[in-house]
Amino acid sequence: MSAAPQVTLESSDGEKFKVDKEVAERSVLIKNMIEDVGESDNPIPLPNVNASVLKKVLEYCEHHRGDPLPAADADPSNDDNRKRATEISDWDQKFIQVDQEMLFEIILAANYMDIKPLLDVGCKTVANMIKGKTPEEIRKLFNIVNDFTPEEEAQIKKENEWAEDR
Amino acid sequence: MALKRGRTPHDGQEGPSAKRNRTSNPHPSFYSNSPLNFNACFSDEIVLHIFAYLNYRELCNIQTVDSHWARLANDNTLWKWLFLNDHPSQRLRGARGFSSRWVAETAPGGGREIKPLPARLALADNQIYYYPFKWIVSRNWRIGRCSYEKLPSTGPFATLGPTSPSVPTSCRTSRLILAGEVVIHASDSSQFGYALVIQSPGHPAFRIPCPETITCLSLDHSPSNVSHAARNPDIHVACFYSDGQFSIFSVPPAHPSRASETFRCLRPQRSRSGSPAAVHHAVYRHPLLITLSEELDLSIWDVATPGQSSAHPIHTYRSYSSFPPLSMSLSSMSSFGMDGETWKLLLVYCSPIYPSHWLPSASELTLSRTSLGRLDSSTTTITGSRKSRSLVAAHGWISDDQRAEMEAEWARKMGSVDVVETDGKFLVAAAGKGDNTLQVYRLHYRGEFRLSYLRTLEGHPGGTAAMKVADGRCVNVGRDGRLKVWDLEAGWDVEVDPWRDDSSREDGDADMEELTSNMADVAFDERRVVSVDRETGSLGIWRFDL
Repeated sequence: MSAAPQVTLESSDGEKFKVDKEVAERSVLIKNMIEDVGESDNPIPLPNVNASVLKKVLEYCEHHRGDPLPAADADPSNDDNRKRATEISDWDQKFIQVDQEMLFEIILAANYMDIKPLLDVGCKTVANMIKGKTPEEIRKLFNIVNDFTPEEEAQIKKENEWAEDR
Repeated sequence: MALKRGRTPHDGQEGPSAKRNRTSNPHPSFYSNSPLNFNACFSDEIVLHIFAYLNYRELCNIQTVDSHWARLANDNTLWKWLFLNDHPSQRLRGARGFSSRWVAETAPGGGREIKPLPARLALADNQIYYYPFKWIVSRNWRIGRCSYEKLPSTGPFATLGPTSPSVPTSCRTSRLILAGEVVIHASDSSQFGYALVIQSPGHPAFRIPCPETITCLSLDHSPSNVSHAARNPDIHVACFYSDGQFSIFSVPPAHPSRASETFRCLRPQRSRSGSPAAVHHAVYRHPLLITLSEELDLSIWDVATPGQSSAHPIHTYRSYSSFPPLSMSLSSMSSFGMDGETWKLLLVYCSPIYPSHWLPSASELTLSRTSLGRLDSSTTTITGSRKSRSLVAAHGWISDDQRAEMEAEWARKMGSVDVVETDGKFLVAAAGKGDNTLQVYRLHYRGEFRLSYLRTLEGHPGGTAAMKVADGRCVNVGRDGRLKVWDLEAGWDVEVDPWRDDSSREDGDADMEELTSNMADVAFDERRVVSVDRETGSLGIWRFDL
């Protein structure tokens, strides 16, 4: 009764993390699993998340353990995070200052583990990286090969000219 | 272990919703040693989540990154979010055709159908729901970005004007109809004769000769006529002549030359003096046709039987308290059912204010049909009527607040009113004679039927040539030929200067001269504004669907 209930998570590379149930349940995936199988001492396997990423994700969950959980099925059209698109809290900002590979891994892990606030932070960060860049800069940044012919590219540019005025 | 929700960690890397996942890359980078690549590691779902934080300009910019980005940056769902976010007012978005939009009984509008934008777009469904396009059209309205095109005159409107008493120029009846891509307007020149002119893209203007001057045109608003299930349904137009007779024409939009007369009423209503009473206003919602003569006699007709050679009005009512200018709006309150049908007719008009001023007023009539079948005087009755003036006279002792309200109302009285228009929710009155202001009122239906003053808008410096209100949008063509659009709900306005377009700048001055006119008809839908000059007969089209 004294200590908070704990669960064990196992990363893809076999490392085990013992965390408070409350922290682990920031992940809807884990929350549902615990509800389904009941509490047990067996570690919960997360075969898509490696130890370094899981550590980072759990750091986020630990910091946000007290936050109200987002609505289960928030409709993207009415959730207001579009409005504060670039607003990321100071702590999250610092937390997400990682190299691009880790950022992508965090997004994938947040998506897999169903941690919507973390997914939002990650996606916002990537969106902020895209903003204000030319297509060429974006290609370089994300290691993307331009598969358009110059004609196709010119055609798309022409179609989108309207966005330039005003 | 049995998992109820079927969410096991072994489902795959993408977690719960795998619908949009790209199958080309089942393994994220940590399964392979390849460098982490944006396209390779993110599913469509995640990319869209990221793109959802970008604005339209950025979304257009990134389309040239590669074909994958181009596809996702054009994603319909993404633009739908953007559309709903950037154009939160439904009115800003424009309605699809006459599709009914209901205001909840509890909402301020109060359980009635609001007249939507008078569009009837014969579009493929995928275009209707193509949000990148819808977003652009809405934005074009908002910023006044449009093209202007002037169609050649189909003959001067020589007989129009004060010399022709049968045509109510002062009343500004509508003789112009916009139905999807089709424009229908009345033409009456002594040279070419009276005609109904149908202009459809890709076809020469088609003229239907008419026996008399056309005093008014009305488009069928019934849902059966505008159903999207039937592609390109025929357009039904009621056409009223100066001798009091009327016809209904059926026009296939793709083949204007196949237009045919489906109904003709040969027994006109008589005015009080015994002469035939020309119809100056009409609303048509098949099978119900409501007409208003120049003496403001209201007649209700059943035009359900095609080819009927004569029709009797079901009811005729006379008014002694309504004055032109006037406009009507008819909405159906219930769909066809065993318990009959109810319609509400809203009339907005001017009421005199002592000694020689005017303020807008509104009346509402409720029509009910008790059973299905023919509309006639035994089954169709007016079951309710209420009336409201914007000026509320208080009797006896009044409070300071009431006094202030009365004084404010008194100050709003207008020396003359050129146009009164309504969409069922808002009433807009354009002052005439050198006063270029427009007064906006709100209609309230719940509880006491009343009009409340909202605000005064500044119109064109030269005054209003024509005005239309639908779906919370007010379109006003000035006597200088310019276009102004207000969104009454959101409160923005935009003035369109068609000569800003460089391609038509060379002859801009000449055009400007020509367009300066006293009288015009205007019609608009969610993409276009069409105006016809009553003196020259020339047609101007502002297109917002660029």
